[in-house]
Amino acid sequence: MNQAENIVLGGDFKVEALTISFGGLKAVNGFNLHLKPMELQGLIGPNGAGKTTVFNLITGVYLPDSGTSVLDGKSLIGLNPHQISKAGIARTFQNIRLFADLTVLENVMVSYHMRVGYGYFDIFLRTPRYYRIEQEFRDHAFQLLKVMGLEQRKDDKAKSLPYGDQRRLEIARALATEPKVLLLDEPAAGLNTQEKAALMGTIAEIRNRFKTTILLIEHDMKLVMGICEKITVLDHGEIIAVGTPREIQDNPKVIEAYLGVG
Amino acid sequence: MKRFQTLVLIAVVALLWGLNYLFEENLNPYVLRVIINCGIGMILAMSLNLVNGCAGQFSLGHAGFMGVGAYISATITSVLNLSPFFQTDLGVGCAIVIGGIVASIAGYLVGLPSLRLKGDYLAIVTLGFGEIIRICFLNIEAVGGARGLSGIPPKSNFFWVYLWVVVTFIALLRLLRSSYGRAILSVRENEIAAESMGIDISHYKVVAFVVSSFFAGIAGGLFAHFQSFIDPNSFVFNKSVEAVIMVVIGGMGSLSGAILGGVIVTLLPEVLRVFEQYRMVIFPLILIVLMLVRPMGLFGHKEIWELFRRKASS
Amino acid sequence: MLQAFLQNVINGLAQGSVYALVALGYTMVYGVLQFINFAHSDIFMLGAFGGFYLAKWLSPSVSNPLLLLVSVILGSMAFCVAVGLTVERIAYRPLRSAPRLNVLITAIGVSLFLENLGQVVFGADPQVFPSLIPTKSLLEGEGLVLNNIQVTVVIVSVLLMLLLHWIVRHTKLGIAMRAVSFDIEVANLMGIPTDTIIIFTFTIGSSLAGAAAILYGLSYPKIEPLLGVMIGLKAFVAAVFGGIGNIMGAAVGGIVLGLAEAFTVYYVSSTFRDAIAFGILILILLFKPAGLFGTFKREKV
Repeated sequence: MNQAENIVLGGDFKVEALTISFGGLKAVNGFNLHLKPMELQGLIGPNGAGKTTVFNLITGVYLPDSGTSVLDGKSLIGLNPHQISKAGIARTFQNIRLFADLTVLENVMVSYHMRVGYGYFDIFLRTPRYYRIEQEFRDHAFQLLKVMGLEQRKDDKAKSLPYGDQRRLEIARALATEPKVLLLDEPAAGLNTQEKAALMGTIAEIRNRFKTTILLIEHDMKLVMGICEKITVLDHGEIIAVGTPREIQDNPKVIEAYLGVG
Repeated sequence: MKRFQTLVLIAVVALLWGLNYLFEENLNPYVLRVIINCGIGMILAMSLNLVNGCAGQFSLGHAGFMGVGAYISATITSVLNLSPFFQTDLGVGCAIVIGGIVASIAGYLVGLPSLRLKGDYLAIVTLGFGEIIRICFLNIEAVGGARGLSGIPPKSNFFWVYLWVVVTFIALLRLLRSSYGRAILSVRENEIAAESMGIDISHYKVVAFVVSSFFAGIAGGLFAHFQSFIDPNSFVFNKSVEAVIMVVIGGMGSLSGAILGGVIVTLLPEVLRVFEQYRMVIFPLILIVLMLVRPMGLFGHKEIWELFRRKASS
Repeated sequence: MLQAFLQNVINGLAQGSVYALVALGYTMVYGVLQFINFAHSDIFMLGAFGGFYLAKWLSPSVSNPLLLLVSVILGSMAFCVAVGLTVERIAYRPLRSAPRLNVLITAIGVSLFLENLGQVVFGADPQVFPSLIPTKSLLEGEGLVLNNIQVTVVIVSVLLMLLLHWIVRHTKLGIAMRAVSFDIEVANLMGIPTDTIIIFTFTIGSSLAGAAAILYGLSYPKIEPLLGVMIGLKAFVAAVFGGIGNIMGAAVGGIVLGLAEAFTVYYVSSTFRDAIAFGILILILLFKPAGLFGTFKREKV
């Protein structure tokens, strides 16, 4: 809960040779990635290139056929999604997956559960510890909502939020797990130009404020090129280019992948 | 705060005690029976609501857990002859709690397969477990087999039943209004997202099953010591369906809705008595119509008091 | 020893083919709409009563037992189709886009409704199903019981299943039905009229239940309004066992379940007969949740 703890820089994340096939088709093949602490990298590629599958592999939703995944020296392969989340990797979802019938505040508070400091005894007897920790959770969640500009809507059901707010709530909820590495899956999808510009600022602010490493899947080139330090390009499950935004922009392979040949 | 709570608790107990006295003296025994049956229905509905409404795991075997509670507690009080203590109010109370604990162990065992199954599959497996539990009782001669078990001390009166209604309500409400409750709700809302936010969804599905079956077992124990007779047919599949209907009528996930559902489902057949043999035909019709016109149940996920609050603020 | 074994195989096959016919109705509806049609068991029950009254009405005027049997089976099938389509139209179709839980509860509601209505209309006491064809023993003195009824049950079931197989493989509607059960949305986009296919599915499922009901009545001539409950549950187990949505699986599952029950009754105890189905169910779901012939779809994240 204590934000001071996060000052200790973590989030050195390395993935090597990650591979998975679905029914004979290699959805992701030999994927490599190295995120240094507080780095902000982008993962791009045409539709169906396997970007979200990479996220699913990293977060344990799918078990890779082979490959390694190491966060700050700890291997994450074979762990369940909730264990990987506890280890310090959080994500958002491209197709929004909020807890639709819970309030905005409760959506964020779910993420604190892994650090809950009271037990069933405290719940049923409503001990002082229960009240104290619940209050703490509420305060922290409220602070986080403020960062994301959602504090006005804290008591609304998540499903009642407008689309852009739902995307921001996804990020707030992921941040509440206090991740070392944050995976954002198309956070700008469906946003208008103004919202996208604001989001660029927010992502940069998140990194500095929460000291997290960020990996961003995004289709909006302007956004990716504008804020990422390094970009990995995926096509048909394989990496076709890695480099700075400028290098990627001029890479003929990338242009080919996006424009499509024959 | 603490002292206030204790005072309220004492007041509630005193009130129940007083009402019990008043009802037994003045009420028509038939009406009192219906009131007590309503109470048992409320506990059943609230407990199933935790699994079906809050954790989003569709269970169709609730009658099985109720049966475990009923049979275990009745065995303690009227088969084993352990000590005269188990004939007293307090002893019966202890036996009922033990029945609840054994039911929760059964719930743990049934909860485990639920980790691998979803939706309809889970429904059918819980149904199967419920039937297996019943068939087991059918085959145990010591508890009467198909003849059933009679002569159970009739100790469940208005006071005890409604005391348990209060306890169940408070316990479940406090559970839901906690971080653990939010974890359970998140499983219902979106399993993949919940897992990604660090919730061990398997664990919380089992927790929901265990807590839910504990209270179902309590309802069973109260039922056994109210009817003073049980047989395997008291816990058939239709009883599970009845419990589901209670939860669905009230609104999945709404605790107060479940209470209302428990009352409605218990009362409706009594009220429909004027239609004589057609009442059991009208009852499912009401359910179908409800599903067609108000698919979220009467209250949806909301508690009754939240409905009023919303109206007041807007 | 061998005689007892063979006897159990005979009994199991006769019982299993009834399960299989009912299981087909569950599995096809599940394949297309992804929900357990709880009312299917009561359509089976109504088929038995439909046949019961039809047989009473026809038997004075129809003397040929074969003709009587065929007309009662066809009549029961037609009656079940009428009920099945009515239920689909009134209760299920308005919920086409509702959450699955609601559809499931509605199905349970319909089931309860039909059962309770049956108790009012037919009375709760069991009725004796008329013997449409005189029972003739086919094997004498071998210590084995094999009669023409058991043979009829198995033959009619096999014929119906072969017919179903042909319909599903070689007719336009059958192929469209398989397409819908593969992916209803894509099938819709491809221009397959899903409502027509759903009606078609309910028609076939209900008619098989109607035929099964008569076959059941022949072998166990006691029918009552709650008749469908246990048979329906077991047929569903058979469908899950074979892999729900899989037509071949339902047929095999029904036969296997019938055999398993026959052997349990003989070697263990008849009171555990009903438990064996659920035991099988739980084991199969724990170790091979997709059933014998089924495949599981991965959820898209």
